[in-house]
Amino acid sequence: MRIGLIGNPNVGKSLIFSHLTGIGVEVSNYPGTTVDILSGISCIRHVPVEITDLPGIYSLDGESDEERLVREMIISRSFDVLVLVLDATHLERNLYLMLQVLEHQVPLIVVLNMADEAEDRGIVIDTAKFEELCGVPALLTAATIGKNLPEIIPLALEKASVGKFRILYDQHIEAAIRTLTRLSGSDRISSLLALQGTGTDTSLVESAATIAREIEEEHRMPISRILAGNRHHAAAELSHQIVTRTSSPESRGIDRWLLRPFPGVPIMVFVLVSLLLCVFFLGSFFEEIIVDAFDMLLINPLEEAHLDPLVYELLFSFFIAIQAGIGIAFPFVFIFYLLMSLVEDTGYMSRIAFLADRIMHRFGLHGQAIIPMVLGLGCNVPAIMAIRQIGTKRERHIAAFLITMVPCSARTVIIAGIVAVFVGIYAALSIYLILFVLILFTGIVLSRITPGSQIGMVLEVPPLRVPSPGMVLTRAWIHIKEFLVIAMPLLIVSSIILGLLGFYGIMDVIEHYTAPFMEGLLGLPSFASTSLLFGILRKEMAFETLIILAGTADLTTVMTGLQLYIFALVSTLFVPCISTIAVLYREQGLKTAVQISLFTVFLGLVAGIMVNAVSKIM
Amino acid sequence: MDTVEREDTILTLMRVYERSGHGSKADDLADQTRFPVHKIMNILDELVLMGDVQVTGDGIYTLTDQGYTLAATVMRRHHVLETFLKEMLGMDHETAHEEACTMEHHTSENTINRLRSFLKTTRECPGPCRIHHRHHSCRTLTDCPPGEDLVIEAIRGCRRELRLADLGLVPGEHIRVMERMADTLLIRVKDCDIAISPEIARSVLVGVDR
Repeated sequence: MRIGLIGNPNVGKSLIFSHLTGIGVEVSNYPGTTVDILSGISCIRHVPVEITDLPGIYSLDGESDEERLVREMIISRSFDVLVLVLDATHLERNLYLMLQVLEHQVPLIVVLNMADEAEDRGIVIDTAKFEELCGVPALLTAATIGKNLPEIIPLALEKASVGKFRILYDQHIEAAIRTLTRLSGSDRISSLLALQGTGTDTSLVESAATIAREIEEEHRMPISRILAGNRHHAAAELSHQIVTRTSSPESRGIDRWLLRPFPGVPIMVFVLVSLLLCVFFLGSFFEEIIVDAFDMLLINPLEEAHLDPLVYELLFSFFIAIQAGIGIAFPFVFIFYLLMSLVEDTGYMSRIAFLADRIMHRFGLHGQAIIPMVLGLGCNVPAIMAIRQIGTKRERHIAAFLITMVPCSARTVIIAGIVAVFVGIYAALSIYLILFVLILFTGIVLSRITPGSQIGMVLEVPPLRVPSPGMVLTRAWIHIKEFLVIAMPLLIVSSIILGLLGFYGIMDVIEHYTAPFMEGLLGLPSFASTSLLFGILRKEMAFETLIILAGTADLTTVMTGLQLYIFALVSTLFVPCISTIAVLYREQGLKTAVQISLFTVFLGLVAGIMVNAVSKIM
Repeated sequence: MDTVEREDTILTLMRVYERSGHGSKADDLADQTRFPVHKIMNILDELVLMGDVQVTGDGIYTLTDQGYTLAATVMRRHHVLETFLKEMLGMDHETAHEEACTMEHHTSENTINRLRSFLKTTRECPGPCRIHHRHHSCRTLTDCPPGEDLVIEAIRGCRRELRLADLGLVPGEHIRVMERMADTLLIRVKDCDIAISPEIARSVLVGVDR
């Protein structure tokens, strides 16, 4: 038995899903997309039921990855029963999707979520009337307080029905559907999809295209818009019959403050900066504890064990990789994603997008692009995967450049671990400032020289909600799991390679060749070049290898404050890490990946040389 | 040398002049028009002969008054054609611009004038108004201050058209402008708040909700 949860974004679908499935959720990435699909197994009356949480969509006809994916899954009958989750407080808009789903004739039940909130707002929904008109069972639920949730699956198993409501489209569309069904013998929905140019039956799609062209000429608007108009009209009629509003107290709450330019923008800056500082301070605190624990329990006993040098080197590299991975993944990355999920689940993210739209236009981007950029503060890899959503090629190209320059948590480790600890907190902040200015500058230049056009954003700003702790934890856990799976093996392998290179003396050869450049132009000791090189594998490894090569964790004994500063600056700018390059190559193509890599190398070296030169003059 | 190349060169000269305030060298013109240098030299020589362009001793080309008038005419043709393609035929901005760029050289003044008067009579009242013969001033969403109640009259072709329709922005729908952040708008449609970038808001034509 397979059940699919479908609905608009922000209707509480994921919360219902986590209630129904509990733990043991599996995240799968649908082939060829970045769309995450969650599925879990639940046992109802000794029958295993596989529940899938489909991505939130507004329509089944659109061209975005999510919409196409859900449409394909419904057409291929991937589910035995669909559970359609609607927002009871915005029923009219949500009915639009329901009408589309009904056309597909899949067994269905409707869950009217947020019933408690609707009641508070004086919205009364007549479910009996709803069932009578649409022919599908309806259930009022309130996911936040768990009301009626256990009844969803039993209802879906026993009463699901294909429904009987049918939209009466514009007469030309209806005539076209009749002609097409008679011609090809296909059903109503395939003819309707064919009119919009989708379908597998090429002869049907071809004959539909001819008719569609005529209708579009007559109406002077695309078929999709005619259909949308008809559906909205039907949805409005339907909601008129089943929804009664007793009172409508119009209150926007704190949105009145959050969405005004003032004080909305200062609040946004405050939220983002405190988010960063939180990751910074909490992260360093926990990192120290974890690293110390590893030193005490693993590294120190290993040093005292007097093993064969080669075995020692291998084990040491292995342990230090695990130490670095855990010491960074959990304190920095996990805290970051925890806070991020918190911000996302409240609905504040879309408010940031609205406020930032103007400034992002300066870079040739739009407000929605701020979301991947903020995500980039955690890790550039998912951030670059997220830019698929934001429109044209030009916008993606610019966003890719800027995101790779955003200091991810690994680079935060370098800045925090080297500069904040050994040089001072203001010096660390000045690196952020330099990065920020460089990103601004690059954005402005790129928006001038990148060809193409932008299409802007249309983004729903959902009401603010109190996030559920369980959901926040689950989401943060999913992210951290991804990080561990990608990063850990790479870290261990490269650490062992580094150990062996050092063991056989190859490292000295590399240093010999890069030394004049490093010393002359950057003013750095020769071993710094090796650690910069290893920073390409994973950014924070630049810091770790520096400690290993220096042979001491107290870096001030081997390098001056200025050298540490230059090292941190160069390594944060210098080349994105290998996983970022890989994902850039996959998402944006070889050309962009090479361009970005070369650009950042150039930027990093120039910035380092300049700081060095300026300090010499002074 | 055909008209298309001559007119393109003149247009480029005008654009450079309007942007920087001075004339341009043959090399720069070749860059901008993407004609090879020897070709642009031929075109320029011909234009000088025709009296549309003058050249100074150090190789700087500028438009004469006669040339400027010609450029302005071509520009006007372009604007009229682009507007027609966008507003009447519902093409998106990109395509309309590209099409207009080729059509501008071959359309007669007569056609342009007729198109212009056609645009004038219909533009006041797009979409549903033609049926009801109502007269109201059509504005785009970007012109509306916060707090105003509006009704959507028509939506011009733009690339987010489908998403707008899915969210309930269809002609006849009642909306309200909630907030403005510079030109970015937050509007309420069917009880939901939607943030819209300026370039998209410009394609939504609205009237006052009475």
